Amino acid sequence: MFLLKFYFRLLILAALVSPKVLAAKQRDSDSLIGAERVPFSIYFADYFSGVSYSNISFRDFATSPLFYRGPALDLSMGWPVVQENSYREFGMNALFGLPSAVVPENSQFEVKSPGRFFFGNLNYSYLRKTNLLHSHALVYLGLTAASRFHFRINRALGNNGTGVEAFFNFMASGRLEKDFSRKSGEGKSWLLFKRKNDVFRTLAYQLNVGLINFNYRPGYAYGGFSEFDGSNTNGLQFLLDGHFWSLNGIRVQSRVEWIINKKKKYSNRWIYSWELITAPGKFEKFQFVSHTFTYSMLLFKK
Amino acid sequence: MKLFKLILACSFFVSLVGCEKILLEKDLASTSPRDNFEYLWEEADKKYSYFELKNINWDAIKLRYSDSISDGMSEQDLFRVLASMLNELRDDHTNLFSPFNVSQYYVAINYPKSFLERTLDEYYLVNPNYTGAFKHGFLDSGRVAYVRYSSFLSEVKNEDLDIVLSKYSNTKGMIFDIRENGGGNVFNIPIILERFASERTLAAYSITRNGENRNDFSEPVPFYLNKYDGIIYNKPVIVLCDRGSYSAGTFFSLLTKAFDNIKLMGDTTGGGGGLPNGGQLPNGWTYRFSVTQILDLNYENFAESGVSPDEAVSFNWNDLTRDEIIDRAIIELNQ
Repeated sequence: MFLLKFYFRLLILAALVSPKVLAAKQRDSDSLIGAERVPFSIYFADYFSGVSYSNISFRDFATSPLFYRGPALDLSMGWPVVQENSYREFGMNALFGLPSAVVPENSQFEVKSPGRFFFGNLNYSYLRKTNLLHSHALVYLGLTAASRFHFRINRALGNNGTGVEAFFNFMASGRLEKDFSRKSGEGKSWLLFKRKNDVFRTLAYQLNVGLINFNYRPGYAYGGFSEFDGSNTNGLQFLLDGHFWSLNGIRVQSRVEWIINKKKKYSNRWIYSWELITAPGKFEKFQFVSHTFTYSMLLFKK
Repeated sequence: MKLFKLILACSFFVSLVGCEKILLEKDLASTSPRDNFEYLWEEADKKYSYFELKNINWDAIKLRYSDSISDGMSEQDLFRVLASMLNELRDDHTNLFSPFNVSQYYVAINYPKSFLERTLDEYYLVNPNYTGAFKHGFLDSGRVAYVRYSSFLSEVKNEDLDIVLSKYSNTKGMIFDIRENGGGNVFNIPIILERFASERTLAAYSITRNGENRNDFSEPVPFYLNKYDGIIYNKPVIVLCDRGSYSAGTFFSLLTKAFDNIKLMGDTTGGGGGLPNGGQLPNGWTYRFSVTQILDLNYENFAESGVSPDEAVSFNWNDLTRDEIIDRAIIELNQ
């Protein structure tokens, strides 16, 4: 219960505070937009908003040895701040998925085991520019703090039909950016038309690898009777009781971004990301993988 | 050179994505009868909560049923073997679910029934009231209230209880009938029982399996019932139970032992004191079995075998015009 409250308070606080704080700092750098071809200038935005299609896959050994896979829709929002020597991004997203058990083909009877999957995610990255590969690409190194909360439903599992887990991770981050911008009139003509506008384009790759990985997983028997305080017993509290924090597991986030700005009013960002979480917990393992295609717009307030 | 760098970058990304194959271990999905048999036996071995109490030799059971498993057996045959193995646990909270069948031990079939709805409807509650989950009315010329709650799956709302308890506030006592109530949502139990509590009451304990040894359990955690701040019924209450009062029905019956103003009457309940948790086999079938035990205030565990009534009364099936258990309860409430 405490975890849930903490998580939602954090989410709300972040939503309220981050745009103002980050955008205020960013305006100091707005003069860079379009002035020269500075590769990172195309990030300059007050916030971004995106929609994703994911293919999620997870396995909770506490209840099933089977993988659950399926499609998911993801909405994201965030506030990037790119300054001359640093890159910061605060992002949050919420996902809803419809995974089903990947059941082996039985000879006669088809087994169906559909579920519902929700998660909320908060990420904050702080990276500093380095001089590595300075003549070829921009390289940033830094840290990412990430939290994540899962809520799963699978009615076929009876009293274990609701699964809850959370993750807190501190990750080492590396980011590589390569500029592919082109000025008007440059390059080859395409059909009969000459390029009229500057096109800012950046290819970026970011890798986050968990250094300190916490996970919040169920106890030995998954669910049990916790203290019952009559009709005051809170169902959610009852559900979360018997969960434990563990310091173990792996979390890796990897993503490729293609960012284009043609009109300078907003930028388009296309992302393919891959994420892996393994959480041994105290008793039973949990594993999660997602492949996500995201389109997001980097927008300016004006 | 540029092309080389691009290929190198792409290769790095692809190899990273590819390491999920290494990090996620192999897929355990399987239709092999042996794999599924072993998985189910081991899960029950690790988590089932009544091996010691019921004196079940789970290792011997494995040996006995293992001989019936063969690679070429049909799914129906596999189901029969696994279901028979689970029924050795003698527990109605233990089931195997497949697309074509559900296994059940069915403890109540071993005992006589103690309730006939037709007798109630025809000779006792001729024009019953229905309020939410409750069927109710006056008995004994208005001196006694009768309330039937037939399933803990039916949601109990406080506003419904307000109506029911207000209606019978001037009666001498109440018969609260949970015969053949096979259980459901445990959260309905305190909502009802708190209407009969005069103070906050410690009513039971529970323990949960927490280790690989078959008698590894958590420390007992208490089950409290609060005093309801609103309309309550503080006159004598007789709860009617029978072998069909299972799971939450047994739990409810056990908790009444903590009340001075509640008497349990009828037959021993069906049992089912353990919370059943579910899981899935490598072939996709699902199962459940008990992982907890419920204890009385003396830390005694008898609920799994059923809660004995304070007064045992049998239903006479030679005379279907009478419900002897209701009759006895009316006499008791008039004393």
